[in-house]
Amino acid sequence: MSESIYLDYAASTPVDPRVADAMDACLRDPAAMANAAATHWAGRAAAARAQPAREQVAQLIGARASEIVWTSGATEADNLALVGAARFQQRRGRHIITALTEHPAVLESCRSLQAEGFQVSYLSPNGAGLVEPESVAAALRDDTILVSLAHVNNELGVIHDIAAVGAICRAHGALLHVDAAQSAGREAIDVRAQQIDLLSLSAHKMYGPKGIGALFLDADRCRRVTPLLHGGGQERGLRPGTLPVHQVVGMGMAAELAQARLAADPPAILALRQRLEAGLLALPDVQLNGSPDRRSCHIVNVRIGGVEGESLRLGLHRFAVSSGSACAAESGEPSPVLRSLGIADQLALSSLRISLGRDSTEAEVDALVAAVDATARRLRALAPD
Amino acid sequence: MPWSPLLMPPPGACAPWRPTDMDYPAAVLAHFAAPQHAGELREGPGEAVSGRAGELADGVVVSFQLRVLRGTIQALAFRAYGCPYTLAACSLAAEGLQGAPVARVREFTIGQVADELQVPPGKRGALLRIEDALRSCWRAWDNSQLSRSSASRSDP
Repeated sequence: MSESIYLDYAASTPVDPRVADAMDACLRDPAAMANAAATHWAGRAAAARAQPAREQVAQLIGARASEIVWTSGATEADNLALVGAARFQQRRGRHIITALTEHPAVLESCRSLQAEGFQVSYLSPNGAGLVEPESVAAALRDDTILVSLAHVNNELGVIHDIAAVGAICRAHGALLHVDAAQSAGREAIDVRAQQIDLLSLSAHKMYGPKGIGALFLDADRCRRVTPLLHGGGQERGLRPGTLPVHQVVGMGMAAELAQARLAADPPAILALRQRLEAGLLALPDVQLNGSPDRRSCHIVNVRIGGVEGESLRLGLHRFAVSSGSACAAESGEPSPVLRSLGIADQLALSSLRISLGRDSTEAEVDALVAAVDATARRLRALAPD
Repeated sequence: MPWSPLLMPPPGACAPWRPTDMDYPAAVLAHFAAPQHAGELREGPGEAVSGRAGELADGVVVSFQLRVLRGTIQALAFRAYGCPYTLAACSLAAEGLQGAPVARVREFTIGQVADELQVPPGKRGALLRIEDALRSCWRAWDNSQLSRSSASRSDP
C-alpha cells in the first residue's frame, strides 16, 4: 500500500454525500435564493428553508431550535460565547475559569478578555490530561461568571465530566460554556441533563461543510450575549450577517445524520482505535498521551521516543496525521497541551495525534503502525547513542 | 493558574517557518531517504578519531567518526538526531570530506552545504552542530598528533 492515507478526522471530516446533495439542491433552488432576513415572500421562503436545520442541530444536543445561533464555525462560536458572555455579564463579576488544555479559540478569547481587565484562571490538567470537577470547584470565586471546558479535548481526545462540572457551576451561579466541536456526533450531548449554558459546534467536524457552526445559548440562563459583530439584526441581533442558507442546510443535514449514526459509528471507530493503540503501544518506546480510559472513540495521541519530530513526520509523509491542534500546527512549537501535561519538549514534538473517522479501515490503521515502526527504527539507528 | 508566556507565544508573534513534506528541496529528500556515510565507521588502516556536538533537549545531536591515514580522511561516518535538513547536511558534508586532507575538517564551515541543500535561514542554526562535531574531531586528531610527537621526543 503506497497511497496517501487520511487519519486527521479531528481536524476535519469529508462532507457526507447526503450533506453535499442537500446543499446542492438548496443552491440550485430559486425559492431559497433570497435574503432570509427579508420580510417579503421570497425572504420568508429562504428562512423557511433554513428553519429545519436549526431544529436538526438543536435535536442533536437536546436543545430548542430557538436557542441555536448560527456562526461561521466553532472558533467564532467560542469567541462569541467567551467574549460575548463575559462582556454581557461583567456587572456580576469579572472572573473566568478555563483549562490550559483548551483549544486556541478559547485560550485566545480569554487572553483578549484579560486585556480588557477580566481575570482568568487557567486550570492545569492532571497527568491524564483531564481537568477534574473538583479543580473547577476549588477555582470558583464569588466573582466567577463563566467556566469554559471542552467536552472532548481536541488533541488528547480525553472526555471531561461535563455533567459534574455543570452541576458545580449551576450551584455556584456561574455560566458553563462547552466546546463540543470534537464530541458532537461522537458522544451523547444533552444540554439540559449536563446543565450546559453555552455550547459551540462546528459542521465540518461532523461530516458537514466548512464555514458554518453554531452556538447554543440556554434560553433561561443565558438569553443574551454582547455581539462581536455589528450590522443587521439577524440571529436575534447576536450574530448579524446574511444567513448562508445552503451552509445552514448542510449543517442541519450533518447533525441529523450524526444523530442517526450515534449508536453505530462510535463503537465501530472505537474498535479501530483499539486496534491502532494496540499496534502502536506494542512498538518500542511508544507511550500514550492522556487518559487510557476516559477518551473519545476517535483520537489517539502517542509520543515516540528517540526520534526527532520533523524527521518523523517526513518519514510518515504519506499519512495525514497531526502533531497537535491543526489550528496551531503552523507555529512549529511544542503543543501547549502536551507541555501542560509535563511532557518534555522533544517528546511533545515527536508526538502524533491520529484521529479516525467513518471511512477509516483496518488496513489504513495497520499501514500506519507499520510505517511508524519502520520510520522510528530507521531514525533511531541514525541517532548517536 | 496565571497565564504563562512559556506556554504559548505572545499575541502577534511571528510563527517560525516550518516546512511541510512538500516544501523540502529534492536534494534534502534524496539524502534523507538514503543518507551517505551514516552509521558506524568500518575497520581499516589509519587512526580513528571522533567528535560530538549538540544536546537532545535542543533537538540536535551530531557525531562524526573519521579514520585518517597519512593526513588524509580514508573513511568517515556520522550519526545524527535532528530535522531532515540536519540529516541531509551531515550526509552531504560527509560526502565532501571523504578523501580530503584532514586539515579541511579544521576549516570546515557549513555554509556551502547549506546553500547546496537550500536550507532556509531558520534552520541553519541547527547545522552549526555539524561544524562543532567536525571541529571536535579535528581537536581529537590534533591532540593525538601532539601526544605522538611529544612521546617520540621523550624517547631516549
